[in-house]
Amino acid sequence: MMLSSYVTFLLISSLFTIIFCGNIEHTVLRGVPTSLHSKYVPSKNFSCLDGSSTIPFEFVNDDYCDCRDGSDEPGTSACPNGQFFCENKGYIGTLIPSHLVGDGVCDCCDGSDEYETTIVCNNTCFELAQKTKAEREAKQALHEAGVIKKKEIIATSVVTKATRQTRLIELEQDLRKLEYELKGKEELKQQAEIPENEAKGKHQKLWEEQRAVREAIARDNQMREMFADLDTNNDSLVSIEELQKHTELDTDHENEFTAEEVRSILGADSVNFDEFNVTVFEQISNSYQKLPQISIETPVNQDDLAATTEAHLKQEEEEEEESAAATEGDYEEDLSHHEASTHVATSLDHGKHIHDDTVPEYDDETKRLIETADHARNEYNEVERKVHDIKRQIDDLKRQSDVDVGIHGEYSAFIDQCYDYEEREYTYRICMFKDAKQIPKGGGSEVTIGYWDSWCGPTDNKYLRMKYANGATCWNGPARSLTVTFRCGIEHKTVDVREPTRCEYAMLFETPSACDETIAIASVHPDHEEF
Amino acid sequence: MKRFIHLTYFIFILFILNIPSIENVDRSNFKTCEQSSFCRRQRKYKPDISPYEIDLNSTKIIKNGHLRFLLLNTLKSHIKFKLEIFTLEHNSLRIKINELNPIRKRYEVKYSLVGELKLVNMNITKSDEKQIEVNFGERTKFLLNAKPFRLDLFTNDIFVMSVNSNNMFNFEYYRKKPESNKTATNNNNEDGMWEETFKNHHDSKPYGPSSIGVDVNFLNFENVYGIPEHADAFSLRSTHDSDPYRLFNVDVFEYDILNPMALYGSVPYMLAHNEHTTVGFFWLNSAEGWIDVNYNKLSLKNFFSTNTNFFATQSNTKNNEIPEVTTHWMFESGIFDGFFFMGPTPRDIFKQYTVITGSVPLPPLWAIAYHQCRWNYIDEDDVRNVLNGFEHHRIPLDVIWLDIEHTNGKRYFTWDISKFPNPEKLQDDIAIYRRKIITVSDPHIKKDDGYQIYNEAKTRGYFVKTKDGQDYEGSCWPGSSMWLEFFNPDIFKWYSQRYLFENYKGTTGNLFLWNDMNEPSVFNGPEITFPKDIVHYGGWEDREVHNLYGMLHHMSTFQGLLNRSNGHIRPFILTRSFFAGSQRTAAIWTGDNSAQWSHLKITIPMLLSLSITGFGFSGADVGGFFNNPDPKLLVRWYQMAAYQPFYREHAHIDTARREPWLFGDDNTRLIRQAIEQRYSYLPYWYTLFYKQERQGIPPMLPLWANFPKDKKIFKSEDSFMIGNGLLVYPVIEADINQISVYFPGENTVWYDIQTYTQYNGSETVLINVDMESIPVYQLGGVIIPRRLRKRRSSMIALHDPITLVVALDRNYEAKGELYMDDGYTYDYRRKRELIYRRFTFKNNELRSTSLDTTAKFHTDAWIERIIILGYPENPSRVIINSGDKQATPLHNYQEASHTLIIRRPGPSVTSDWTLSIS
Repeated sequence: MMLSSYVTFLLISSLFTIIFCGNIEHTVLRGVPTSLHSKYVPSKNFSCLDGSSTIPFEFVNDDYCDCRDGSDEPGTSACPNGQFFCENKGYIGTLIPSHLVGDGVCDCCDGSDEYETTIVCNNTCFELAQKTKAEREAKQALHEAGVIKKKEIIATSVVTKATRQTRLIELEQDLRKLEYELKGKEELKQQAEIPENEAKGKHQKLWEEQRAVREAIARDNQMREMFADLDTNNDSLVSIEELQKHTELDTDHENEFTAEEVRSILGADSVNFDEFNVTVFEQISNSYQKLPQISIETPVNQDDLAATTEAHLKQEEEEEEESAAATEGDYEEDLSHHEASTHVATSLDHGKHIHDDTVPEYDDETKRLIETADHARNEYNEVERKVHDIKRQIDDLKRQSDVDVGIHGEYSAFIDQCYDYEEREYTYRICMFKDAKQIPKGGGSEVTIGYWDSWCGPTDNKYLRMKYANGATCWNGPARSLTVTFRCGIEHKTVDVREPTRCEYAMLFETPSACDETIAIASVHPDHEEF
Repeated sequence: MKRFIHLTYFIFILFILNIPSIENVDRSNFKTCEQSSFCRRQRKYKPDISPYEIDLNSTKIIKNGHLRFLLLNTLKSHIKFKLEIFTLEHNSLRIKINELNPIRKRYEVKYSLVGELKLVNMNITKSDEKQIEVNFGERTKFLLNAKPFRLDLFTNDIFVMSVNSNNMFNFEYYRKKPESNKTATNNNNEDGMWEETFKNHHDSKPYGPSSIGVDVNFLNFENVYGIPEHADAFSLRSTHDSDPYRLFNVDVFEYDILNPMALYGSVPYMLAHNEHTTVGFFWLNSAEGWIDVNYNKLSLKNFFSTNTNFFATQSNTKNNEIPEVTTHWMFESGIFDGFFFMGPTPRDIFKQYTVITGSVPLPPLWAIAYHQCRWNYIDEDDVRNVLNGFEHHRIPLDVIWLDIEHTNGKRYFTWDISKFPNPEKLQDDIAIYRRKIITVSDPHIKKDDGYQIYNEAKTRGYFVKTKDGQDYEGSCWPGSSMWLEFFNPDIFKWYSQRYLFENYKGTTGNLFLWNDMNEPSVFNGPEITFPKDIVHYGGWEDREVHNLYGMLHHMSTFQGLLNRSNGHIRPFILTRSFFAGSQRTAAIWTGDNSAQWSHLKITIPMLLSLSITGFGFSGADVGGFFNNPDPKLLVRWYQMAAYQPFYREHAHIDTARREPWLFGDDNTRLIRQAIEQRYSYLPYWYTLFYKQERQGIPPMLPLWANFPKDKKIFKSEDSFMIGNGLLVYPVIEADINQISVYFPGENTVWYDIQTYTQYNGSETVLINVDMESIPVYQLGGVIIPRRLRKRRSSMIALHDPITLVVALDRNYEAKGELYMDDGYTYDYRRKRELIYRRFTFKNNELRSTSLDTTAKFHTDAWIERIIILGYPENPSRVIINSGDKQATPLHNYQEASHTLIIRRPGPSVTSDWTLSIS
């Protein structure tokens, strides 16, 4: 606006103010900070502080906003962007937005902003000064005490760091030694294992040959037995009708076991013993079961078979117990037990017998070689364990020294420490540089609200805040996260946890590590010269 | 506020209702017309000839202005109906149709109407065996055709509305249930007449079918509006290929936009507008309703040929066709109680509807300022921190809100004392800044013997009952809950008394109320609400009164707040559910919208639909309730809502915090500017709200309300007006740097409120926009009072000086009004403590005169500045006279924008004065 054009009407304007209720109470320098008094000279035109225009001095504090920056109305509420200076004698002079002038709220401690309203503002500057002083002193004391602790932490940190370094060098030396030793032990181990393996191999081979012979006999017996079972009319042929009774051999399990399907197994309308041996037995041996009535009719057979292995017998006993324990209940249950026991009783699984066979003992020479090799292995393992152990120690130390514990190591006391905070419903547990959890007090599973992420304080001191991110995901929401804000305190402790936004937690944590030397040593606060 | 945050609830709902997705509304939770048996039956009812006839021999004149006839269904002649016609003041007509001798009394809504309706004389101009023609009001008349029954309505001799001209009138009379062993049973229940099941909810329907359908047709019209609440277009869309618009108060989780599904409130009131006439039809019925809308051409050859001269648009009649909007209304029960508002102007229509159902009373000033809400401000510290944030960032604020979490376990009327140990102190501290606090109070009562409200209500039998007479139990925020039976006057009164200071502990006069979840929302109920066979006070089924429940809830709350101050202080209540008449006691908001650009956009048609159907005090959650708005969307929402009646930021508990200063300095500044603009126009808004109370004109208006003849704007929903002075074209697209602005009205001139740039009417202009832009234009010819000073809250600014913005029209004339009072009491009514000024600019003179010389109100407010827009030249002298005083204030003229600024003219706003420019 070209406000300077008003100037020509200056005379008329001052007349005007007398006539109408412009409620101007000209206190020329009202609201002007002491430092700016020189800019407000009643004998001169006033230049808006931003230089945007020049107006007659009568326009200053006349309850009409002329300057774009509001500088012509420091003492009224006319400008939306002006500033009113509260003198606040006995306390600190402060600037407040000029729209707070005359709004019925006491904003200055001397009440000077409410000069024209009916409300009475008590002058609270003295009390405020006292209070501020007390607070400042308390704060200073706190920081003083805190800084002492902080220094201890830093000192400890220095020692710890040095110790850690020394230890690391030691460990690395030890590691090198051990690795050399391990190499030797490995050679010894390998040397001992060569004759051992040879002897064992020989033993194994021999045993496998014997087993193959046994296996062949067993198969043959089984085959013969099966042939005899199948050949119910004892004509030395197994016919389609004879095999068709064994519906368990029906591979598709869906429709009936047709003559066609049986024929495809037999390869002919009937087979003699040799043909059975060559073409049929392998096809059916795994599925084949004795017909139940046969098993009942030939209990001796069953006993023989059951007795062949311990394991088999044991299994059968268990199942019988189960059967006995089952209530004489519904038909289905009975049937299933019946089938199961039939299966067990008549199983001709020859493979099982052989697998259950135990390897015979080694001969004395082999035993001696194994013993020697075991000794070499044990020695090797022992050293290997030591190497592993030392590597872990080195990793731990390195991890500890990699953690950013502040410029001077002031947060080093946090390493591997956890702190609990008890709230109404939950315990919040923060394990520094690791994670933070919310543990329900009424039972229920704990929830990780974040894993250590970074320091995230303001740019001038990032060590005033930490972030724990990527915690458990909220239902229909983001992953939980936690921001920890540090403030000076004598002890390390959480003082508040809240969830201002769902799943975003905020923790306030007191620690000497956050105490400020500049506050501790400040005897006079720089802002307080107007006291 | 709201919705299913608690995992337990969600699982529960998933289980019961089988919600497959949380991303959007689950439509399967809500009935389609096909799934609502009466809608299915009525929608397919369309005989070639209506069987309904009037027996004109039965005509009875009850009194002048009230006629009665017998109406018969010729197919079922034993059933008789009575049809009553009432001619009402303000060009309005009421038609009631009920069974003559129903076997069960049919429900008639009474809560919506204000007082006795005034009859006006009828002038029967023609009467024979076929029809009766009656003139009433100002050039309005109706023609009642007997065989078949049809009613035609005329305004200024132009055919405007017709009832049953499409033969869809179909009245299901109450009947006896057929014996179950009869073979007909199957047939009878085929259409769900005697019971129906939706999802796993069974509706026993003990009284059988009782629905009413009728076609109401708007002739010569191409646009109809209203029937809120739907998240849909302002000019209603054809339902030819969709379900009808549904009216049934329900809590729709994450509602979709642009569809006719029911929402939280219902107003069965439709308007039609063309360049000649505005008319309205209101069917007072509180049952579930469905309304089909179709746009047709009506061939005159087959229709009523003797009356072709009644048709308005000659150009359209070339082919013997005129446009017609046919609407088919279907309600599940009750009576036909139709009000026909004959216009002819938009302003007449607003008056006519609000004479019947009441207008929005003048709210307290602070209620139209800015509100800060969130589900939830956690505790007293949080509240104080947020308030400090507003102080620190110098953003004006009037109200802070507390959602459900402030209570002790969702027990309304209690506080969670671990979070709010001293609520009175909190309210007193807020009161220093003349700010208010609002707490939520829902109608569901936690089932808990240790909860006093529950105990007392339980003991006294105050809960809503099932069909078997048991207390109805359902699930809501507190878990197992019961609902208060507000239809019972004793319970209504008892509930209202819960708000008295002695009952609602921890409250002060600085606390006001929010009624949410009052459709009511029942998490495990059919369609998330009451079963229809619930029995309310008086034996009425929920089926008959469903849409009234929310209104009775907030009416009772209103009564409580009124009694709390012995009738001295204006209450403020926000409600989510509403019905015709709710506007008298509560403001409303559009419920749980979403942080999406499409939801920002739909806010305009939604609020316009509400505004023109009586709800002038309404708004939408700024930023969108669900999800997180990006800063751009949030800023645009603040900018738009600064120019909408109810201005509140609100957010779901799962969203990130979004107080205005959390999005960087630039966005903080933009939001601050938007809110500051709102505050600067509060004198104008407050004046408009006063006019609304008096004349029923809502503050937020469709463009056609001010420019009824401008056909280009009948469908506008990207813009709106505030009063007759401000045209608002909010930026509602994400990434645009230009918007197209149409300036309505012939020969009008418009001024950009920021730059004072002029634009001509009837022109479309491309306007460049950036994030700072809120395109708003003041109409030449209108004077708008503003407060350009800044304050913390509206009430603090109450007596601050006024700036008058005088926007000149092409004849260098303008006028406007200013209303002021104490901002919060009823003294403006009881003691007439108010000022109501008229400002007129004509012949280079601006005069301030009183529009209400008997009233007075003391204020120090004075005129500190007059800005005259469109002034042709730099004047040599400005003189102001008031009584015997004279002064010559300074002025400044800006050549480029033709703006004249008068510096410190100085008169009190209460005085008469004349400013002369030469």
